[in-house]
Amino acid sequence: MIAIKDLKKSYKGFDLDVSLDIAEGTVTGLIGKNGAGKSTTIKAILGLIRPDGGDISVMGKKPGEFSGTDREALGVALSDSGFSMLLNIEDIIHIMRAMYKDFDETTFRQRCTEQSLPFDKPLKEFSSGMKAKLKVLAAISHKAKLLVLDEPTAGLDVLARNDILDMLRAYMEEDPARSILISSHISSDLEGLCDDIYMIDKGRIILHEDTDTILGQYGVLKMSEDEYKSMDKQYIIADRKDSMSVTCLTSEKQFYLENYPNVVVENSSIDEMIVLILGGK
Amino acid sequence: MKGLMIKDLRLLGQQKKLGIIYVVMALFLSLSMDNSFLVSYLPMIGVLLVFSTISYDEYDNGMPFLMTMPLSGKIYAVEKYLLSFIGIAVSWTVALVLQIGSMMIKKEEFDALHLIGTDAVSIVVFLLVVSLMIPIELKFGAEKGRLMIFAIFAVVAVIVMAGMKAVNFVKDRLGIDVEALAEKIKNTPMALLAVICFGITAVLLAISMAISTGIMKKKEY
Repeated sequence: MIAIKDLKKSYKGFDLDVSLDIAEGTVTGLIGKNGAGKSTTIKAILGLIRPDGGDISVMGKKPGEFSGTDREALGVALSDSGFSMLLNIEDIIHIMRAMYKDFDETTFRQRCTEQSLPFDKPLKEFSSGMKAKLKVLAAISHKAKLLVLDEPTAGLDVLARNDILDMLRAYMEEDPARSILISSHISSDLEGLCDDIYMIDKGRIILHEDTDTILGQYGVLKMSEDEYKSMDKQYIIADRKDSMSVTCLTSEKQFYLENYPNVVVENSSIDEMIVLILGGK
Repeated sequence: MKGLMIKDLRLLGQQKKLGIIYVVMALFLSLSMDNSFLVSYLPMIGVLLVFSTISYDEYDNGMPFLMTMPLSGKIYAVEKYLLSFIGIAVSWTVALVLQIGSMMIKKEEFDALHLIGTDAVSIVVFLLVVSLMIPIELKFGAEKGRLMIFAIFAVVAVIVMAGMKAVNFVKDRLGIDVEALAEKIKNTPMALLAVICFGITAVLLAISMAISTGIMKKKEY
């Protein structure tokens, strides 16, 4: 669905250089700190910026060559951009109806009602949760093959975040050939949604792994410094030394469970993984 | 294109109260003073309202999302021209109707054809304003674009002054009779002049549109 090879884009003080692949029927998460390069990658995928180098193919075409019909197959929600705040949902329905031939007005109206979104109020009167829900509802309203969502849950409370994640799960269940690329810095949101995760930092992909592997095989080890010194470190990905102990991220927690009974082995969450990889050493 | 047009018309619809106030104000002014200003006043409001849609698109960083929808930069630019034409046509027609209405109320005599012919000059002027403003607003953004227009008017003033000096130079040094040339233009039939004026305006609009689509193609969001 998306193939990126050596995508390069430079801004003052920032260089992006990433490669990634998103297969049909998968949900892929792009995680990283603010300013890591998530939005720049997404903008390049959407054709909003011109890359300085590398190749991008989205649904078999370069984003710069997208026709209107190609764009109809894209559902997009951006964290910092959306419909004019002066419009209301009725206005948006009229616009979407004219823009997308597959716009499913009945379902869109029904979902907006379910989420208690008012149809006649301008968006400027919406709460941030309501605005975020509307963005996602609009993105999934026209049977897009590919959803590209940049921080769709940013700044929302846990209930609003769950609502959005539920909408995305339902969207995938409707047609398994669809794909989603979702970026977030709240990685716990992505654990129950994504098939695989790319971690980006300082404009580079530093980790790509299946979510099941991260949650099943990865682990967090806690031990004393002496234990750490004598330990086999072949499956250690990152470590962090505190005054009293050492915390490590491993890609093979079973190995340490079997061979180092004194070491505390915990399941890893993506958030812990980020803290250890990006904040380690 | 249709979706963009609906978006802009719905955004402009939010200003309908303001529009009504402008028209009512124009009506009162036209009754109390010379009503010829209507055909420049109302189209000016119309064009400014159309330009305000560019501000709305940019407001709250709306452009990136807009450009992910099924449209291209070229369609975006062309739609702004189309909307401007509609804005000028509607406001000019309203102005003409008000003008004729106020003349009838004041029981003034008028020749409708002559009036339309004279008023058509303002269509040409506002089409020229559109052809100048849209590329500037798209290139520099709505806010900076409006500042740029002052700079451009200053440049135009300098060019006009230089042009007048050039006319004097041509008159004095080369012995070309400028007055005779002006007289010749004056004697050219109205219809021919109108065709020439609209022809030049159409060419300038086409150039402006080509520049605007070029700007939109190169733009990053």
